Amino acid sequence: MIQIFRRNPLLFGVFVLAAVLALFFAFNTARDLIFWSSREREAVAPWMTIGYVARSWDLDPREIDERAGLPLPGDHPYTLNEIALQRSVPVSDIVALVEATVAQMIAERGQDHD
Amino acid sequence: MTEWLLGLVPVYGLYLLAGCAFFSCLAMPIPTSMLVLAAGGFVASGDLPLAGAVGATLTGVIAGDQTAYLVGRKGGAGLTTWLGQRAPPLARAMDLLSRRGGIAVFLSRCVFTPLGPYVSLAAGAARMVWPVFLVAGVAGDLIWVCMYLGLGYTFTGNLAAASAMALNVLGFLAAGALACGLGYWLFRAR
Repeated sequence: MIQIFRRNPLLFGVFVLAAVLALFFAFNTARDLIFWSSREREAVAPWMTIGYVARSWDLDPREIDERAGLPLPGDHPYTLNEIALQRSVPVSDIVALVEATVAQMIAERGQDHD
Repeated sequence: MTEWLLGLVPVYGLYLLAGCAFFSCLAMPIPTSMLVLAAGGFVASGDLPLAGAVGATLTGVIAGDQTAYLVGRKGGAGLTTWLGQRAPPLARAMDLLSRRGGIAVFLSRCVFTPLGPYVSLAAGAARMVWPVFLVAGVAGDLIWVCMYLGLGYTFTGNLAAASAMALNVLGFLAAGALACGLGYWLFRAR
């Protein structure tokens, strides 16, 4: 090892640095994987579909549609922005409606588990 | 712009994925990695078909790579010959790329992706053997597409975290590949 270092100190330094960086990135990946279940979910956004929101929170998408009075997917899944345009209301209203429905369903799920 | 594009994924789906993937391989500033992560989430939620998402993204990146290679081959050959006559190291570099560029093409598809379009152009200009470019490029593209769609699928609900995870995985692959390559060279030279 010492001989290799003496022969190519610069390359050996780069090798050690690359190995340390690889360990650093491997540690970060493992940490993210382990703590993924306790992550903060992304806030509901206009580009999302009900299916995407439901998947994020492990909920049934059609139940969100039904409770919030939203249209079922047509020729393609509707984004919240499209639903707002169909109804001629600000997209923030639809986002708030979906957030409230999701919060209610999560609260009910919590009560079921208690 | 990113949010606007993300909102178009469920509407225009596979065409949008293929188009964005194609143009990002030609060095257009399009947030394709974010789109593909989101597409993975839409696949998970049943809004996009898995095979279609993989096929469309892969078709887009492969077509983009081949176009960049062709542009380099048609337009870059004269320029590199002219430059090579005045700068011998450049000629040697292009010669090396044409003979042993497969690994560079592969890594620029899946690890050092910002370099992808330029490596394709340089490979074309250096007249790299086309089947080698094709095979190395497709192999790298396949890994990148599967990794980003897979991370988006698995980590739906937090694009920022999925993106950070992708960067960590890519960082690990890049640093790991460098460490392995250097380690092999150093310890073999002993």
